[in-house]
Formats: sequence, structure tokens, C-alpha cells
Amino acid sequence: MEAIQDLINYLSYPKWSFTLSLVVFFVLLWSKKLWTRAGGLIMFVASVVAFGLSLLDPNFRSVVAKPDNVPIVMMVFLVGYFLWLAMYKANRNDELMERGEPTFEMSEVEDKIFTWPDLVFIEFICMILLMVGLVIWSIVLQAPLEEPANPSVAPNPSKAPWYFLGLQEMLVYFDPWMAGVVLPGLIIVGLMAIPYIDTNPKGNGYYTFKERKTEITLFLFGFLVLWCQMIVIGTFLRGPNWNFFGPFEFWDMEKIEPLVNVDLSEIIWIKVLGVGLPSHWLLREIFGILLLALYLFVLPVVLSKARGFKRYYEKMGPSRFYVGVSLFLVMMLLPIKMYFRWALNLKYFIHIQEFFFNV
Amino acid sequence: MAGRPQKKPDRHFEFSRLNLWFGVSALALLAVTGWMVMADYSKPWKRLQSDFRDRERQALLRQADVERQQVDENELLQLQQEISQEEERQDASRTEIRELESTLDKVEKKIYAADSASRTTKSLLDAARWKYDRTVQESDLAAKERARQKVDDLDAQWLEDRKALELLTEQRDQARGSLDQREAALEEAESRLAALRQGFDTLEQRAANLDKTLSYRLLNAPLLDFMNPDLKIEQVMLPGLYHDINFTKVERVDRCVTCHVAANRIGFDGEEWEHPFRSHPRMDLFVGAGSPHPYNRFGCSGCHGGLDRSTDFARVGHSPSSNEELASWQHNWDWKPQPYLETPIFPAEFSEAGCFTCHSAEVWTPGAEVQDTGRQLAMRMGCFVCHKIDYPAFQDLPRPGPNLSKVAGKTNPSWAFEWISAPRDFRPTTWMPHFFFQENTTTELNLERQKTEIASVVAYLWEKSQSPEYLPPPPGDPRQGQVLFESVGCTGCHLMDAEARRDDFFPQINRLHGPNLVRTGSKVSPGWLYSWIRNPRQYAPDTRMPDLRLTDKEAADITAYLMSSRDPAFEELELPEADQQVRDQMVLQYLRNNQTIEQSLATLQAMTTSERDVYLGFETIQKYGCWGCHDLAGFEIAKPIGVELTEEGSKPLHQFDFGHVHDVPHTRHDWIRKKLLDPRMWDEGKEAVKHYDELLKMPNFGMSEREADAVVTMVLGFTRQSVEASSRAGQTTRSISLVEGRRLITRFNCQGCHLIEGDGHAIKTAIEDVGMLPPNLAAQGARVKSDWLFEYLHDPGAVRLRPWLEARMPTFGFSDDEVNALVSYFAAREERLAFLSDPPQPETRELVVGDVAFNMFQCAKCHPAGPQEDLGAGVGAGDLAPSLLLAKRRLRHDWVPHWILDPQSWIPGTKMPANFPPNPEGGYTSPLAMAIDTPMFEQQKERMMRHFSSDEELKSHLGDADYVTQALRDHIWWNLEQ
Repeated sequence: MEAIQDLINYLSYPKWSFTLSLVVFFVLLWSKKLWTRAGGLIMFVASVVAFGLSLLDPNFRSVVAKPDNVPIVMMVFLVGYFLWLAMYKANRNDELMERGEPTFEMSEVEDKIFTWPDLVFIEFICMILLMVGLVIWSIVLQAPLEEPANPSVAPNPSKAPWYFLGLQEMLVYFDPWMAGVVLPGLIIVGLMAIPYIDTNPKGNGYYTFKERKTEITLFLFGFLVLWCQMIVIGTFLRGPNWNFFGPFEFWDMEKIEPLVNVDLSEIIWIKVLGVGLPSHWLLREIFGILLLALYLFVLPVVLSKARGFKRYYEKMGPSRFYVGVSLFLVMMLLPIKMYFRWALNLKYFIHIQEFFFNV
Repeated sequence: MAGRPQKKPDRHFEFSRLNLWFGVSALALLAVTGWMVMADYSKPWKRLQSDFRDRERQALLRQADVERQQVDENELLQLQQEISQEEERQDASRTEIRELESTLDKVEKKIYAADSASRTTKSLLDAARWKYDRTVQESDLAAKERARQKVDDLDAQWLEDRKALELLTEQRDQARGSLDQREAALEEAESRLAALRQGFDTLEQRAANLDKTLSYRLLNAPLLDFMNPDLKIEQVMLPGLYHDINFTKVERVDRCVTCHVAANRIGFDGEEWEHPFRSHPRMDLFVGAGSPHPYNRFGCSGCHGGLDRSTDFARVGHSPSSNEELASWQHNWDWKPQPYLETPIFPAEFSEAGCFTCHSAEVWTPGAEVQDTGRQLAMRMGCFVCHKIDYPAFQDLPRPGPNLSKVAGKTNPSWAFEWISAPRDFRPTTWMPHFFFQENTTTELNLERQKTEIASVVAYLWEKSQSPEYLPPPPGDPRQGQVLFESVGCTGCHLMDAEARRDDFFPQINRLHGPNLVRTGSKVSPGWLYSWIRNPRQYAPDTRMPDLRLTDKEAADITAYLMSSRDPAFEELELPEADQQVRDQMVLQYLRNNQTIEQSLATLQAMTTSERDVYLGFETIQKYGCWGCHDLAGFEIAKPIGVELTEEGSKPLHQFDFGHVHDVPHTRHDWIRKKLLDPRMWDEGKEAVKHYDELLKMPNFGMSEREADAVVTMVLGFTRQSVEASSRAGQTTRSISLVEGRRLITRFNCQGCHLIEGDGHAIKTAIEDVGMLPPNLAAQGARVKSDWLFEYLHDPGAVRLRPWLEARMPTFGFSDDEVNALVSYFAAREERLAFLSDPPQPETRELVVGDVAFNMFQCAKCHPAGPQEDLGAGVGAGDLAPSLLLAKRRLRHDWVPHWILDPQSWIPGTKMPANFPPNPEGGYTSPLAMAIDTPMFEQQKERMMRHFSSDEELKSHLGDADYVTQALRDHIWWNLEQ
């Protein structure tokens, strides 16, 4: 038991769990068998059993049963359920379409249904059930009434609300300007831009995976792997002083993990070339600047001619393509940076302290 | 089931199923709402209040029963009979009474009408007057005339109305009067009955108010209890007490009385009232309306800690005192520790910690004995020298240890080595703690290092010390010395007891003000001792030991006596061989703090052996902080080496390092207590990874459990500011004088010999005869004149007040400021002004009466008063009381009569007889009025009759105790030759 827990603790470290989750993500998404009723049931039962067994451990319990974290547990199950539901419906439609039959939505639904009672009654019942759930929740998990907040005794760890925990986790890898302003801003801009970039008319009004593979994969990658997983890490696996703690690990306030990270400029100038750091920032950070420029400005052009992407270039036209690819590359900057951090202890590609621009 | 019901063609869902879902969910919502209401309604404090209501009611009924028993049944019956008789009589004249009542009624109605008519007229009159005023300035004379006429008319009308009213009122009064007459007897009987029944009637009424009637149950029912419930939160807002949360101060709102229902009410302290239904103890001092800490100004949480606004048992921060209590609380009240609460409620044994919140400026706080003992211990153990404690009580304190700048003249290095290694081996009652050979330095190498450190400290001390030479003392008689030691006053501060342990004297800490002198002969040189006793200041200018004005012979005797106390285990000692290598390594380690490795080696090579020893000694003294307790050259501006304790009571729990110790509960007080009892225990398991100089350094004071508890009480009180300055104690001029005086009293251990504020007389462990104890200084400020006291304190040897005492008041060598502080202290304590004017010259008659009274009371039997008496020589069997020749210079003239009147009320246990027995009215009777008629006082009577006009006048004067005592005072002031 201890050994299993230790293994899970070890594998939970972001460098392993992120990689694992990437693999699992692609395997899952592209395997059809899982997205059936039976598959769903098996996944559900397996996760409940795993969760239940984990609850036997007091450390796990103390984190998961905190009234603040209970909604996130619920979120994990809910997201999983809705993912399964959508993929199930998509796979069903894909099979129907392979056989040449109309989609499920086409065959199932009448042209119109009445608002009252069909829509509203259902909504009403849902509302009542939701109220019941909320009231039970509020009685059973009460909010603590503590002393008036004292700024000189900050709780450790100090966590953002759950919807920002993904960003707080990003703060480990990026500086606050990037992780808190630029990237979130681009997320919002990107989400708003999707309708203008994604011109694929397929999948309009019915579930499908086959006809929208790229779009769905990209979006779910960004949503599940980069957003939800970071929230889960930030909620359950980050403890005092924002140290990493495995799910079965005790949250020791005095835990010290060595964290010696070096900038790209230091790696190249000092380690590789053996000379000191130049004093002017432009010269000092030239490698990082060049790399980033290459990545953001040259790579899209290269990609427009590359094998998998050329098709999209032709379909979407240059402006859409370049905007979309740029946003995609910025999104990929996060996992890329994360891997550089884990592999090389890289702190920043570009580290300009003079006017606080760090990537 | 036959088959799924068909859904209707134009519906998307099967509505019978949906209806079922709707029904189920609606019922669920109802159930859950009911649950929510009940969860919100059923609070534990409501049950407590309800329980208490019942119990109070039963108690009141029981009390009423008791009262009922006490009432005379017969009287009750008799009265009731009388009443019924009266009622019968009334019945007989029922018609007359009814007539009177109806007349009265009619007249009342008429009065009402007349009254409103009169009022109406008056208001019209006022309006008319105003109207006339308006017209005064106008030129229309006719209008003016009309207005004036109107005013006159209305005036007359009003007069008529009032007359009518008065007439009617008279009629009414008459009618009322005759009716009352009829009913007088009945009413009188009824009022007598009511008076008789009053005792149990009020109690039964109160019990009835507490009864749970229907209206009670409705008003306190769920959902209806918003209107006017009996079961409600009881809170008090306390503006001067607050939580400081850095950007603002949140005032305290105490809700403790919601559950502790009887805490601020008197009368619930019997055995049957268990928590939380018990009255607060000592309501004359706390919580009571007339106490110095009334509930509505201080609440509870300011003194006891805890989360003031909470009404949940666990959240408030109740701290269990034992494991049994913890278990029972977890079971009964779902208790959980509250890690985020800054100040949980102090456990019961430490509840005096809260006194310090307001009383931090004081030296001692009457009523807070445990806290004060803690402070006394802290001052003597010297906590404040290593740990900064930034409160007025801990500023400008004398160093706890002796001055070591001339130690080479006093003792020898090998004794010093043994002493520093383990002070309590030589002197078990010492305040000096054990720095070395504790449980975190048990490896062989560390033991060697410890020995090296001690040797280096000794080397440093001897190197830096002056070496005064002392001539050997003249020969003395040890037996005589012992007699002197035990009588002259040494035992006020010192002990001579090999068996004594420090805890034996708890809480009289000042019993150990001076060192226990056992084994002195093995420690000091006789020449030093003789010189010290004769004049302590020549060795240590800042010493607190006073000069006892000993003659050479006396000093020699005492020296011989003290030197005779020896212990061979501490004599002829060899300084142990220090390991040179270890010593050199340690020197190198220190040198490397400032120099490179190469430089350190070079510096080391350049030092001679003794230089290395002295250098290591310097660094060791700096490491352990010896300079805090002992005056040492070279460390004048060194900073305290320990953790600052100023806000230790508010320190977050996670900042206390519990290390690898798992059997200590995670509370502040447990950590501190364990630390005090065994300071190095938190290094357990860490010795392997800590460097030698990272190991914990706090020394072990060998505290007993109760000493540790007292110090913990004090430390827990060091919390962040939470009281407005205006609410704190010690802000008045009187308080400041008291503090200054008490500071000196503690510093010089006046309570070692004297009884001050009811405490002291430590010397009584050596002097058994109560009559030979140094005087009780109660009411000193009311008794003696300030200027006399001033001179006396500067030079006590100038006059022998109480010649029969063998103990001498020593000469302390106070500065003027110090004496002034003491004089103000005594005066402030009695709330007297420091100086008062002289009494007026009395009449001859008073002087004669005084003289006679003096003789009749035979004052001279105890008090020397004659002209031949030598001030201070004190011979003769009659010297049992201070000489009265000193009285005029020394005593306050306004006090002497009160003293003579009732000596025991000023100094309990005094031998001065009470010549004036108290009388039932609260005053005193003078026996002289009766005694003057006896034959033996015939001459005196004649003498006095020359000044009185009659026998009665004489008797009445002689019977007035105040007059007689004042005459006595006048006699002492004016008749005795000075």
C-alpha cells in the first residue's frame, strides 16, 4: 500500500503527470471503444473506486474534504461526465454517418416542441433539485467563522479562487506579467476569435468527432490538459509555500525542495560559451529574443508550407491561418516552457530586468 | 406494471413520469427546508438557556418555600381572618359605599369636562394675547381695543373655569376621603399581609415569570422567534478593547454570557451550579457592577482570551486543562482545536495571564498572585536579559547576578569552574541556571567542548578581573556570629540552609532575594568576606546589599560563622586539563566568522595559549549571554541573545518548533511550559544534523512545576496590544507613585523584613517570636510624616525607634530620588497628601484632660515618655513601645487619635491595647466617664473639675471617645518635653 502511494506521489509530480496526461489524452480521444455506455460505466466505476480507496488515506482526506475543495472534486467528476456524454454522442453520430444513415439529432427530434410544459417544467424540476442539493450542501459543509482577517498572518498556502488556480499554477513557470495579464488576455481574445477562425461548417447542430477532429482536439487540449488539469494541480497538489505535494503526502510546512533555475542567457553565455554576461540587455538576451522571434514570426510561415498544416492554410486563407496558428503557438508556449523548466531548469528564455519583460 | 404509459403525441416527455419527479423533488425541497430551519434554530446555547431557566425557577421556588417556612403561620392566619372580617363589615355597609363610589364617579366625570374646558379657554387666551401683541404696532386703534377686550374677556372666563375646577376637585377629594376612611382598615390589614408575605411572594412572582407558558413557547418557536424571544444572544460591546488587524481595530463584542448565563449574576456559586451555570468567582473583584472590572466595561474575552463574537463551543477557543476534559469535550460538544485563533481562551490554571493586558505598567498586581509570582521569578531568573520584553515592568531592572569585575579577589578559578559547570550542585537554591552538560550535548566530543568552554570563560574572567588584595580579618567567634546572623537582620534576605530547595518557598520568592550562604567557606576568601560585610559597595558599587552598620567585632564574628560552613567536595579542586586540540578548533571556528581559513590559521598561530583561552572565553560569554546577568567589562552594549518575548502570547502556533517531539499537545502553553522545564528538549533528534554552535542554548533553571506554571502565566500574557490606553490600569498619578515605590521595594527586598501591603516578613523563618519581627508598614503613609520618613530612610541608624528589636534596619544608601519615590509611594497608598500642616495649639482644658487620660490609661507603662529618656538608648523593661518623645516629629497628628481609638484596625496583631471598646452604633465608648468616679482618680477629677462647669459636662466630655483621643494626642504633642 505504502509503495503504491509512494509511486502515485512520485508520478504526480508535474513533469510526469503532465506527460502521462498528454499521452492519455491522445489515446483516449482517439479510441472509440471508451465512448460507449459500457466504457463510460467502467471509467466511472474505476474512478469512484480509486477515489474511495484514496479516501482511506488521512492526508488525502484532509485535502479533499476541505469545504473549499469539495466543489473541485465535483468538477472533476462533472467534467469527466460531460466529456464522456459529448464523445458518446459524437461517436454514435460518426458510426451512423459511416453507415450512411442520418445523424441521431436528425432522426430523434420533432421540428419544434412547446416551451410550456416541455421546456419549462423540466427546468423547474431541475431548479428544485438544484435547490435541494445546495441547501443540503450548505448545511453539511459549513463555512468557518474565524477571527477578523489579519494581514500579518496570511494563510499558507494562499490560494486564488479555483477558476484562477490554473493561472496561479502558471505563475510557477512564467512571470506575473505573462501569466497574469498577457496569456489570460490572449486566452480570452483567442476564445472570442474562434468563430472567425474556425470556418468548418461541419458539426453544426449535431455531435461529431470525425468531422471536426482537429478543432475538438485542440480545444480539449487547451481546456482539459492545460486548464482543468492545472486547476486540479493547484487545488490538490500544491501545499504550503506552493511546494508540490503528492496526493498522499503530508503537507509539511517546512518542506524544502531545491529550486535553482537558470536563464537561457546564462546557459548560453556562461555555461556553453564560457564568457560572462554582457551588460546591455539586448546583447544579453539576444538568443532568447531570436528564439522567440523565430517561434512567433518565422514558424507560422514555415508551418503554412508544412505537410499537415498546408491544407489548413489553403482552406482558411492567410489571415485566418496566421491568426489561428499564432494563437496556437502561444498556447503551446506553456507546455514547451514547462518541459524546458523540467529538463533544463530553465528560468526564462528572455529575462530583461531593466523594464521587466520576462518570458 | 402493465407497460410504460404512452406519451401524448404533442408532448416531448411522459408527463406522468415528470409529475412523479416533480412531486418527489417538491417533497424533498420541503424536507430540506425544514431541515435548514431546524439546523439554524437548534443551537446549543438555546438549550443551555432553557435549562438554566428551569433550574433558576426551581431554585426560586425552593427559596420561596424556605421563606414560607419562616413566616409565622399563626400570624398569617390571624391576618387573613382580620381581612375577612373587614370584608364582611364592608359588605354590611355596601350600599353606602356604592353611593359614595357613584358620587365619586360623577364628580370625576365633571372634573374631566371642567378640566378640558379650562384648558380650551387657556389656549384661546394665549392665542388672543398673541393677537393683541400683533395689533400693538398697528395704527388701527379700534382693532386694538377689540383685541384687548377679547383678552380681558377670556382672562375672566379662564378664572371662572379654574374656580369651577377647584370646586369640583374639592368635592372629589372629600368623597375620596370618606371612601378611603371606610376602606382604611381593610387596606391596612391587606398591606400588613402583603408585607408578611413579601419574602416568598416576590420569589414566587419571579419564578412565575420564568415559567414556560404558552406565550413563551410561541415566542421562542422556530420561525416565530424573531419578534421578542426569551432565548437570545446576550452580548456586550466593549469599545476600549479591540482586535488589532493592522489596518483597523475591530472592537470586541462579547457573547460569552449567551451560554454562561449566570456569569455576571450573583448567587449561583453553590455546588449544584456546574459550568456553565455558575457565577463568576470573586464578583467583588471581577464582573460585579461595583467591582473594578465591571462586566459592561470589560466583558470576558479581554481577560480570558478567545473569539469574542462566536457562540459555538469549539470556535470560541475553549482550552481543555486535562486529557479527560479534552475527551469529554470532544464527546459532548464536538470540540476541535482552532489553529487560526490567535489567542484561545487561557486554560484555567493560566487564567491570570489576561491581567497583564491592562496591568502591564505595574510591578505587582494585587489579586493576580500567580502572575506576580511569575514576574518575580522572571526578574530573579533574569529572563529579560536574554529575551527582550518590551514592557515598562521590565525596563531598568537590576542585573540578577553579581558583578564579576573583581571576582579574582573573591574566589578561586577551580571553584568557579565547578560552579559554572553545575551551580545547583554547590547551591541548590541558586537562580543561576545550568548552561552546560544538558541533554543535547552528550557526545564525547561535545562534552569535551563544553569543558573547554567553561575553562575558557574562567580564564577570561580571571584575565579581565581586578585583583584587589584583602587583609585577613580579625579573629571572630563563630557561635556569636551565628547568633548575630540570625538576629541582626541578615536572614531577611539570606538563608543558611543546606537542605533548602527553591520550590520550598514558593510563592514567597523574595525569601531567596540574597544567596543561600551555606558552604560559603569553600567559596570565598575570609578577607574578602570580612571586607564585603563591612562595606559591600567597595566590591560592587551597584550591589543591593545594604550596610548593617556592624562593628568590627560583629563583622569578624559573622565572618567566622560564615566561613565555618564548608564542603570538602568543593575545596582543593584541580582545574581539569583542557584538550588543546578541541580548544584550538573552537578558536578557529570563531576566527573563521571574520577571516579566511588561511588568515584564521595565521592568527591562531600568533596567539599564545592564554590568549587563545581568553579569546575563546570572550566568544563563549558572548554566545551564552553571561553578560546579561553579570556585569562584565567589554559587553556594555551587547544585545539580548534570545527570542523577543514581547508578543509571545500572540505568536502564531506554527512558529513554535515542536521538532520531532510527538507527545506534547500542539498548544502555545504546552510548548512554553515544556521549554521552561527542559529547554533543550526541542533539539531531540536534531543533534546529528545541527552544528555545535546551532544547538539550543537556553539554560536549565531547574524549575518546579509550579514555578513553570507561574512563568507560563506571565508569558501567555505578553499579547499584542488590544486595549485602548485610556482603559488600561496605572494611568493615574497615584498608580504611578505606587509603581515607582513597588519597584524599589522589590529591588531592595523591603518585604524580606517588613510586612508591606499584607505580604512579606520573609525573615519570620528565622525569627519565631512575633514580637521581635520588624514592623508592619501598613498604613505607613497615614502614620508618619513625610519629611521624617525622608530623613529616616536616608539614615536609619540615627534613631532607635523600637529598641527591643534586635534586627536592625540597614543603611541602603538611597539617592534622594529613590527616597522621594518611597515616600510618595507610602503617601499615595493611603491616598494622603505628602505634607500636612501643624495642628493648632489646643486649649488648656484639653491639655489637662490629656494629661489625666494619659495617667489613667497608664500609657507610660509601655511608651517611654519622660524627660530623662534618652532617645534611642532603649533600656529598661518598660521599653515595649516606641518612645512618645519622637511622636511630634514623626507621626501625623491627624492619625494619632484614630490609632489610639482602634489600633487593631491599623496594624492587625499589634500589642497596643484597644482602650476604647466599640459600641453597637458603630462608634467607640470611652471608659473614662465611668472610671473617673472611682476613688483612685479623685485627685484627677478635682483637677479637671477646675475646667468644667459641671459633673455632667465632665462626664459627657470624658465619655466622648473622639474628644479623649484628641486630648491624648494634644498631651503628647504639647505636654511632653522634647
